[in-house]
Amino acid sequence: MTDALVLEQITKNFGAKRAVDALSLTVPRGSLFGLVGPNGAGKTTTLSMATGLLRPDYGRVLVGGVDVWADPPAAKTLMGVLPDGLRLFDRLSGRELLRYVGLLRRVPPADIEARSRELLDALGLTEDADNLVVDYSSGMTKKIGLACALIHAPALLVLDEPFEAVDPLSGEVIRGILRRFVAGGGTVIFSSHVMELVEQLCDQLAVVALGRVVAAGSLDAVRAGESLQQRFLDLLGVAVPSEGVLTWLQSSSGSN
Amino acid sequence: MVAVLVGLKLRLLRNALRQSAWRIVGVVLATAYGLFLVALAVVGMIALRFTGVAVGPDVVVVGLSALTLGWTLVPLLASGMDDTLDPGRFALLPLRARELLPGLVASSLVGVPGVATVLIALASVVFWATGALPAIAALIGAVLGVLTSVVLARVVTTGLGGLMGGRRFRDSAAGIVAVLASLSGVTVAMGMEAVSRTPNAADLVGSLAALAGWTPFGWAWSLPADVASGRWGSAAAKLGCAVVLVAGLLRAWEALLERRLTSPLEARGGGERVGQSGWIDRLVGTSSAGAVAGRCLRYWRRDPRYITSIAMYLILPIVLVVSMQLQRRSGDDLGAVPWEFFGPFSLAMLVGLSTCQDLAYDGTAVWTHLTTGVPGRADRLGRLIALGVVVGPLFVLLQLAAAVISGRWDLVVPSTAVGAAAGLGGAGAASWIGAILQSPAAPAGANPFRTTNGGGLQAMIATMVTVAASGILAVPVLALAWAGLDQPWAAVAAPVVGLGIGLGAVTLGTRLGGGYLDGHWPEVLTNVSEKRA
Repeated sequence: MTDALVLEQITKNFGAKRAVDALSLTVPRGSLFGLVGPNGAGKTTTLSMATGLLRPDYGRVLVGGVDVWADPPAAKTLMGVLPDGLRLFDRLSGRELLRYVGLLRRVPPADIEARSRELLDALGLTEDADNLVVDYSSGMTKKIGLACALIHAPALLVLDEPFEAVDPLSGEVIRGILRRFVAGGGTVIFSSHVMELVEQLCDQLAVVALGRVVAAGSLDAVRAGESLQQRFLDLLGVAVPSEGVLTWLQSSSGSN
Repeated sequence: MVAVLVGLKLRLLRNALRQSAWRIVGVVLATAYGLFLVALAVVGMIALRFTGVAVGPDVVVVGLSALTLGWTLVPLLASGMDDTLDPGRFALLPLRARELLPGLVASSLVGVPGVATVLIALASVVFWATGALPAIAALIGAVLGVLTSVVLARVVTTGLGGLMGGRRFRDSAAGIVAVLASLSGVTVAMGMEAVSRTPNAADLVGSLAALAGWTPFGWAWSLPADVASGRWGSAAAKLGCAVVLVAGLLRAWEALLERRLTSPLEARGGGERVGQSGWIDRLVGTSSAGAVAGRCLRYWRRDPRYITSIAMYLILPIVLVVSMQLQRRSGDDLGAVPWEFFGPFSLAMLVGLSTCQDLAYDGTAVWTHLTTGVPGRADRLGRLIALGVVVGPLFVLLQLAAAVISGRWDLVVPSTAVGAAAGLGGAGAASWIGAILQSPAAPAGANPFRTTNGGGLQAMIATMVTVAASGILAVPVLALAWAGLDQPWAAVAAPVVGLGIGLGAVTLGTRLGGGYLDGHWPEVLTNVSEKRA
């Protein structure tokens, strides 16, 4: 059985800065895979290269055995993508945006109609389906983006920070959708800063820092008996500011 | 604060230069062009000063007033306003508009247009320095004139931009277009009148200078002229007007700044619902190209940037119609062809321009096209279908208007043939060049007169290629149409060749452009992303 997503030695430089450094990663089919790391670790750059949004300087990406950069259309059919920090066609209403993405994905119009209704309903967007996406809050924008990623029933979901700005209720709904998606034979990889979320949701994960994989594997193997938060801090060797630094900040509570 | 803001602007400009080779080329070209204009103005004024030609003062007043007018018009019509120091970014700092104002005025002068204007203003002081009083008047005039130029431009672009970026603009767009069109028509008509009434060039410059001196653009600049020729009453009046104008403009800018500092976020509409627009979906079908066309059609209706394009498509032919009316009175028809038919032709020449900008207007939202794997050709074709649905009726309307006004129904077919070659030709060329060259554009809802870091040059090249292609492709059809006025074979050949050239250009343009996109989608996404400009 081929793996859902394989990254082989992918590398990306921005000018003199090496954002992703010969990063290799395997996401087994049927897993719910978390990608964690500090700000600037290269998570978004990695996922962009995996989804065909950013051309790697070096390396290979395989989705279900298909090379993303040799045969982009074939690989893109298999993926549903939610990038972070990119705009949507936000002068369309939520319903129109879903239909647009569905048509570009060549989903039969009757299926688009039925799936849109279910997705909008499940994500609590039915009320706002005919409002322009530009007027959505950031959490609602995330949710309509997720619906767009799901509309063609992909085999692999690649989500960049899907839980950011999403309220706890919608977060639970999204977690439910992802679990059901995996139970039905799909694969999910998503990035996050929130360790508790990853610990609770994922069965596999990778910790990246400075564009490299620091640790990867099953949840229990990576956390090695500790909490994921503690293990993460250990792996990155984070120094907490010592006493005697930033003391002037305390003045704001009283005298100045 | 002034030094801090000027320093900040210099640093931002330098950093932007480091990021993009396009930006460097753009700055080099702008600097060369600016230097050329400054040299021309300085040498010209000094030559006029020492040869003592009688029209010298008039020429200088007209030129400098035109410079101030240009500061206001150019950002509106063409390049947009340099928004390196967006006041909204200062919103979280404990600063008042009044504290920022001097620094923002000073930093507006940092840059090629600002430096060029200051140099030209200084040269005008040399021109007037034939005595102590004119020299002092010239110095005061120069300071007031430069201030008027810079601040007027800011106030107009910020004020109008706030108006046009808002959702409300959509519904008032038709009215604004009508007003603008009639205003520009009237201006052209008045200019033509003046030219036709004045027999010789020196008198014409004289009356232009008198006129310019009494407009807000010329109050400051004509001050030394009045002083030099001893018109003290007029000089005092102009000094008063210029000072009040600058003070008023500064006050207006301060008010706009104050608003920007307290509501820095870009306009968001208030939860307005949209209809299903089912007719669009039925019209364009469910193919990939049809889906793109449907999306674009909704954008033509909902995105202020596209609405502004439609406005431009309407204004230009209307202005031409007005000036044509004046030409007709002086009995100057272009041989056998009435000027009316230049209306639809000029529209056809402009049609491709919005297609050049399409990907830039989409911005980072084009990731949708990347991840869905839509064929590049479907992307190109869909955009052209939407363009055709929007512009086609406009073209027919202008064509019919031309026929009705001139009564020359026999010219409709040849004129449509030429229009087909120019319009479809331009659209095809734009499909190709627009796929290759993109730069980040201000997002919808932001001030449409804002330029973004490093754009401009690519858009300018794409525009030139498109207009050139329109013109070149129209030439053979134009020749045939002309010959067709008395040769029946050519009259038959013109529409066939026109349509053939047009459709050929569209086929070729969408195929080449689409093929390029298929291979370069990720680079397109990088090009239109503002942070990587």
